[in-house]
Amino acid sequence: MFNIAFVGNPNAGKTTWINYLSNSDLKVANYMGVSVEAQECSIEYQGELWNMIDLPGLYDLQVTNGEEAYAKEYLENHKVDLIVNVIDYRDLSRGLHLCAQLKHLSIPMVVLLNFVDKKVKNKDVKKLSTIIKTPILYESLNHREKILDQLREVVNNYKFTSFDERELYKLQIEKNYKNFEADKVLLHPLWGKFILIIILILSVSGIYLFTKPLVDIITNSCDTFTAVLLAILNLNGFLKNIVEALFFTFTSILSFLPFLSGVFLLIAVLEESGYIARIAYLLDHTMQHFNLSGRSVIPLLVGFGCNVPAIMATRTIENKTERYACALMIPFISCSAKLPIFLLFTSVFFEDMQIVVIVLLYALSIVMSLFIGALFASHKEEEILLLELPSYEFPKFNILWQKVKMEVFHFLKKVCKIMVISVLLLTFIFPFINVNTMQKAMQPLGFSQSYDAVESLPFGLLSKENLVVYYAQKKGTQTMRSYISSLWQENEKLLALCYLLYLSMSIPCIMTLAAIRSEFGTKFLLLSILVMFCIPFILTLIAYQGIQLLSFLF
Amino acid sequence: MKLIEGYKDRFYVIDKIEGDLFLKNKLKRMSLEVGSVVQIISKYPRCPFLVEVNHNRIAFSQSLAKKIEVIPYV
Repeated sequence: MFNIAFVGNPNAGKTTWINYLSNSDLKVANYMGVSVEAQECSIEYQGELWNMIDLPGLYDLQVTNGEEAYAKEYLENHKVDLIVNVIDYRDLSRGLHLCAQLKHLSIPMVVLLNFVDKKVKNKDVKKLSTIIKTPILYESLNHREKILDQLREVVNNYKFTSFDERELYKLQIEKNYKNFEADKVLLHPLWGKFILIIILILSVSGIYLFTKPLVDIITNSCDTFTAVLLAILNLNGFLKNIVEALFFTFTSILSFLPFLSGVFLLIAVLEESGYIARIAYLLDHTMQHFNLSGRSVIPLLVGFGCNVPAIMATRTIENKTERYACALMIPFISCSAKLPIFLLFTSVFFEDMQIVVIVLLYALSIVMSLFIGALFASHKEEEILLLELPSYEFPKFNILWQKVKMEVFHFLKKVCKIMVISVLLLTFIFPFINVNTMQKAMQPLGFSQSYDAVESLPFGLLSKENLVVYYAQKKGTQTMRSYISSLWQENEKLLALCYLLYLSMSIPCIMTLAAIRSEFGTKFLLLSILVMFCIPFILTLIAYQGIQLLSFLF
Repeated sequence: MKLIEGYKDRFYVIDKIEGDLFLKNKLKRMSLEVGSVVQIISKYPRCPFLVEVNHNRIAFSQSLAKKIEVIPYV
């Protein structure tokens, strides 16, 4: 096996290169700290297995903690045949500082220059290659095979040498610089925050308005298609129930795809443009009110997509207390998996103000998350925020398309997997769960009046998309709309709201719990389960009993 | 003078950094070290300090800006 480690400064473009060379789909974004542990992918090239290792970004090898130390330890303790040092050409001096240190590791190395401008001349690169005594590749992303051939060639003919960093001062080559022009407006303490709010409101409502007609068309055509298909298949008995459940589940999930794709696109645009790191800058002072720093903003924002990578992203927070607090906050951020169930219930109970209720649920999850942060974090004045802002990049269509496609594909793949498991669980195991006891325990929360609503909760633990699968199977011959509207007989709007409130705050999924355990240990996992169990219970109790009391008084 | 006392859009050379070796190393990795030329990009009372060094934009808390001593770049 041929092991190649991709090493470089944060946000130099290591993952993009690996994705290109190995046709993989590892997560990339335009801010530092996206890769926090080694990610590997393999390809077979010319009869040999090539293992490409994507290491977290690092500035130099004199590090002792965090994801940078992880990269350093990986290079020292694992078998690496070749180091590919990815350097951002716009930030050459810093990249070469790391390069000089990597040369001392006595591992064959090649430099891969990224973001090289067209005006850069070949002779400049040759001059640089002579000074650093290392082969340099800088072709644009068009010659995959050529680059792979060159990488193999480097190992065969490599001479171990080092270079003097002082020699770099002699170097005078043409450079292109990073683009920070929009900072004047976007980072203004007043206008910046105002623009941020406008961007978020406009994009969310825009996605909703644009995708609504599409959702209606998909829903109607899927219902007709399923009915026709089932009539043609003409199945009977047990098999009929299983096939029906699978079909209805899949078509229900399909109807949420346009809105979800829009949300994935929004996240991708924010990531690729370099704006995510700016949000951390803008909200630093606001976060200090909750004993946190701007550093916590990035994991929290990632949490809107999925809580699992968000938990991993807390590694970029140096302060231990803040990191732990952030891990407690993340599960309260409503991830994209909760969106289908929000859409389903709000479309039935709050048709006229669907988007308002969804935004309210999201806002509440943010407020609750910040409350948890204020409770558990302790930010001291002497602790410093140090953040590098990436260059503004106009999001490339093919990268956005790739990202949205990948997210949608993962979502569908996950749903298809859990769909089969859920049908089996619902048919064979869940009938033995004592829902009546759960109902009694949750009686003060109101929504427990519905047997099905309570029974759905353990299902949601597998993953929150699973709840839609559950309801699609439970509805039987009724339409989804009439079934959902019949869950509660009276006070249905209030009870549906309490149910959604409970769901938005409850344990996101087993995978998040596994991520918390692997990052923070079992004791912390137990604490976070306790928090995730108590908070939604108390909050829903206050909401339901409070409104009941108010309606009794007035 | 302290970096926090500097003016927006002006250039300064870092003269001294107060703090332990750990902090100095951390700043060095971001090209903030004695002798580096920094340009103050934005300094607002309740926002992180924003400087440009070696064509990179670095944001840091104001408490750190108080620890960096600079002289005007001529």
